[in-house]
Amino acid sequence: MASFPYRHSTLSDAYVRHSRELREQGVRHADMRNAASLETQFSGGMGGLSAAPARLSEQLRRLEGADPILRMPVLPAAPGESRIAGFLDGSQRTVSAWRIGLVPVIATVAAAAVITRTPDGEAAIARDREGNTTLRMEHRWLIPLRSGDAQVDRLVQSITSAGGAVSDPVARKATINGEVDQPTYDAWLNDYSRLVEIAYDAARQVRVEVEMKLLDEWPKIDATERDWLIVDGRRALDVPRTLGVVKRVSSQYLTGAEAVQVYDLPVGHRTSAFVPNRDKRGGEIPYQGRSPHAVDANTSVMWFLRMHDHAGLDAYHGLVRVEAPSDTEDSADITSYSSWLLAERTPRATGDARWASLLYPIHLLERVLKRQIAAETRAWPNAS
Amino acid sequence: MDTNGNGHHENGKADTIPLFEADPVSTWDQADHDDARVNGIGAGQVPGVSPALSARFADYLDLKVGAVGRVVSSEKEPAGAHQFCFWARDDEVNLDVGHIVVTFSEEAAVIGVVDEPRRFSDLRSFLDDYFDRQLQESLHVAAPTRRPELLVFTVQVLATRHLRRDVISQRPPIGGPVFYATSKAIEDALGRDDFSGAAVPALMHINGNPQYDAAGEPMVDADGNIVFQRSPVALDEHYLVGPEAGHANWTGQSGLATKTSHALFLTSATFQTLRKGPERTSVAALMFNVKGPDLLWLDKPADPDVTDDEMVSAYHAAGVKGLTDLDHEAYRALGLEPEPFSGLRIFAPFKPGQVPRPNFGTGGGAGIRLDSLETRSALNTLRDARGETEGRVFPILWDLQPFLWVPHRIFDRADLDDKLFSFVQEIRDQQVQTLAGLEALFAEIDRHFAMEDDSGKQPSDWRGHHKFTIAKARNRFRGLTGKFGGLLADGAVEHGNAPKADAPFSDQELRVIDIANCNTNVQELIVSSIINSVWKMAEEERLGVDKLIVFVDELNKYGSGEGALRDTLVDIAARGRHLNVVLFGAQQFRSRVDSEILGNCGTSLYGRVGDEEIVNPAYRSLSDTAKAELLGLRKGRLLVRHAHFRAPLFGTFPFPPTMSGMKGQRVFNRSGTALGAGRCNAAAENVVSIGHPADGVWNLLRGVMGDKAPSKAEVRAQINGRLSAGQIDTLINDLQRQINEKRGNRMFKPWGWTQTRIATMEQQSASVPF
Repeated sequence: MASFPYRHSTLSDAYVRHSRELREQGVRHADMRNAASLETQFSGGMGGLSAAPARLSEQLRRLEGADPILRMPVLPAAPGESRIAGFLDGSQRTVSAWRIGLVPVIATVAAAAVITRTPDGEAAIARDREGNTTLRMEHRWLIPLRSGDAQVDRLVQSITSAGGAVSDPVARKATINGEVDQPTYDAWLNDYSRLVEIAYDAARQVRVEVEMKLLDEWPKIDATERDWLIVDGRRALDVPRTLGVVKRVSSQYLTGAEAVQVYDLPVGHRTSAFVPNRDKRGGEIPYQGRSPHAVDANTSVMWFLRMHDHAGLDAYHGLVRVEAPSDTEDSADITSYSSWLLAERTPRATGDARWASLLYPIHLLERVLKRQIAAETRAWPNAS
Repeated sequence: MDTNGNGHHENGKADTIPLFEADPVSTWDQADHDDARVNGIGAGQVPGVSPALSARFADYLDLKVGAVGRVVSSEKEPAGAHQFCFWARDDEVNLDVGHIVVTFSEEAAVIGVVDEPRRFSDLRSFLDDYFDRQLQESLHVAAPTRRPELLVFTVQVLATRHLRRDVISQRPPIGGPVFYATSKAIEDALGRDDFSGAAVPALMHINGNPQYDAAGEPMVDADGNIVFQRSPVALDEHYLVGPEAGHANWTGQSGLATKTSHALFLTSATFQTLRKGPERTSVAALMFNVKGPDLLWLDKPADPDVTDDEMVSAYHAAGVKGLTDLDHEAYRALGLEPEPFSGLRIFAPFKPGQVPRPNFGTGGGAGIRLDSLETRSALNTLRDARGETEGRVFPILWDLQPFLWVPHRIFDRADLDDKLFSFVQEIRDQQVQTLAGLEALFAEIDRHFAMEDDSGKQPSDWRGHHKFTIAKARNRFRGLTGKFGGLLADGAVEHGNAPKADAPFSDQELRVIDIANCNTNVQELIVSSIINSVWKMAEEERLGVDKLIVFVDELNKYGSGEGALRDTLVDIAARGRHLNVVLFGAQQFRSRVDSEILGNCGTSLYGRVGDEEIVNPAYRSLSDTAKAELLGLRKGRLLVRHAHFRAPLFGTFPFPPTMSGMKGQRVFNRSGTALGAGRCNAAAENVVSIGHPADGVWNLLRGVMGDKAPSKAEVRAQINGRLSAGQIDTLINDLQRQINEKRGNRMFKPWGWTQTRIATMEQQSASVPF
């Protein structure tokens, strides 16, 4: 192991020294000293380190006549200009209930809702045109149904007979071409840690399903047929008048100089738009009941938008990826959508560490959903 | 493989997120209310409240307005038996501090007074909002999403009423809806069911919900504004005037006409309640008028008799507005008549120098018989108009005898050493009752000292009292008529049939002792003497009535520090309720009243309090919000604490049923105002027929000069336009002192001295810049 080269100086001293060198040598660089430590950023684990390389820029379809990607300024929408009316988000809480032999019994509670605003900015859980609330809750037990363990089977029987919903997370994961691959299934059955991971992944899918149902219903919820819905995260369906706002830009899509353009993007600027050429994730689309107008979300038109100044902070600060309906072509429209989003910078979700890329109504909705879930899991140890 | 279960909750959570949407089932119509009453549960069940609680307490809740908030408790601020928090519905803008609300614990209704309001948002710091604003063009531009701001009120619990009447519950409320309390709930919360005595109306509580008419519709006033629910706040007779508890105390800044007005209102309410009560308890009140004509016209109604055109005109001309419609409505709601005190009797000493001459006996046996005197114009009271004094205003006049029992009050502390005290005791033992008798004793003592013994030496003492002590005593006693001018007579005093200020009372009598124009010596002596006499009567069960209210204004003056009066007041506070004497005390500074007096008060009322005063420990039991409210409390509004109330509450009261003092002077005593202030001048000549301050000077001159004294007109002419009323009083005192000191001195010319003194005073007055 190499010895630490700065035996008689601190890391901060070294930073100052080398920053001076970079400036003297004319190296273009961004100061990120004020960013949170990586331990803080990845405190929840790596989230599965992607083995796949960043997508190549050549695989994109660039829009707005920009090749390579360009950056352009955007002004926040003036009061009354924005047509954003709704915000969709979901939340989940997944807990371990029992272990029977090697089989973990996991339960998840997922919630999703649409929040809309009155003209004076007051937010409320939306109702659809029939007056039904958009707040949706789902309880789901995640249990391997092919364990061969009679005790597990009895538990499943007991849950379903009481009206509970049970999903087999392993079967979903081990399905190849519509069929469950039994050897794979059996192999995972003997790996307790893997079973827990698989159950957690299934739980996230439960939440995504609930969100997707609501997203699909947006045309029914919006009585004006002109208002827009903001989805927290990716647009799982290509529903008209919906924009996805991806807070954590883990897929940069762009490489090389174009990627540098993204990370250098000043506040109040966006990139030109592009469309990924193929399904990023592959695999199934979990929500099967989507309406005819909902098509593959991976045809979304995307661009990056810098919401807040990132000077001295990491490159992600205030950077969001916006996803728009696949029929978006007009550059003026893309600028308008960006300006609507910039107008959402106030008020800020100051109570959330992700405030720079988190829209306040989404933050508000998250709090409501978390309280709803907390009510469903009250008295559960470590659930709140 | 998925199984379809029932875990998908759609449309089932609307009632759990009322923050974001109006609760469609939180309001009731009259039919629902009736259902609850008639059928108990089922169709009329209150949303969010158990069937049993709905059935039992539906009439506690204003269900037309519906839920106005929800109880919240957290780890940091748990709901307690005496205090809890709730957040308020955004659109219930009438809800405010002082209102009374109802919510529920598991098996009980919890009724409380809304206290501290706090508005919360999720903003972590003020700076965050500031930085947000940097992104916008101007401060008045609203953000597209309004940051929710939650209004949370603290509630002080008034009462907890269990489903079962035999269960006393103190359990805190649980998270659930909060409603405005109806008048029924307020009445129950204020312990009306537990009253052992009659309910004495004291205040009117105003809530934030509407008052409903017979058809159940919200009432509106002439301007179209909603009339808010008004509920009487009553005090338990047995806790106000004994025997369970007793006494009432008012505190608040002077000049807002709130303390005295409410004391009068409550006295009237007590009189009426006891008169109409099943026990027909007799009651009287004793009050001391210490300022202007404040308490002199309590027998005159606030409104004139509408059938008496002349009176209506007189009221109008004097600018008397009378009671408003709201006042009359309040009296009706409280079950009271706005009637004056028909049993008013006023007692006052004479003006200095105007003590009548003896009208019976001769020499040392001469005295004054009060029932055979015309004293109206000579009494030191502003109520002196002919026709308004007969049978109402009576004199207070003492001979020397009562003074001899209170040497510590009549002599300066520095003078009253053991030798003088012993000599005063000797005078008492000698049965001396009058100043004339004392003069005779001094003459006898002079003769004793003039005699020589066998050795030719004159004695140095008399009955063991050194001649210097006696000389000192003579000097001090001769100063008493000036020090206690108007109160102390030379000769004996006989009341005959004239009422006495310290005699037993009659039912519904309001006895006012007018000491407003007296000097401090006279004031303190009269107050302490009469209160001590009353207390003695109470101990001897000679009060003449079942209950006696003693109202002492400026209680911090009499009920603090050291002294016999303070001890008596403490004694009354401690034992009075058992002896049927209750103390109604008022003061500006509660912190300066003896804690034993305050601690024995079953009822405390607070008006506006100054910031210097409210930081004192005397207010520590009040919440910060209540204190802040008191700092700016408007006229006619009070905070009340009573033995039955677990928490203090605010209320209003109507204008007293009687004429105010100043207005009474204008309507009934026009000459009095001309004499009350400012310089006496020729324009006031038309009122001298019913008394003139200068007559006191003439009386003194007449007393010392006899027929050689100048005429009354001559004395008035010398004084009119030259001296103010205050200067005339000073002149009278000075003249009295001169006469006492130079008695027997042939060189002393009283009228000449007086004329010189008038000129000097006029000159001094003119040289003082205004």
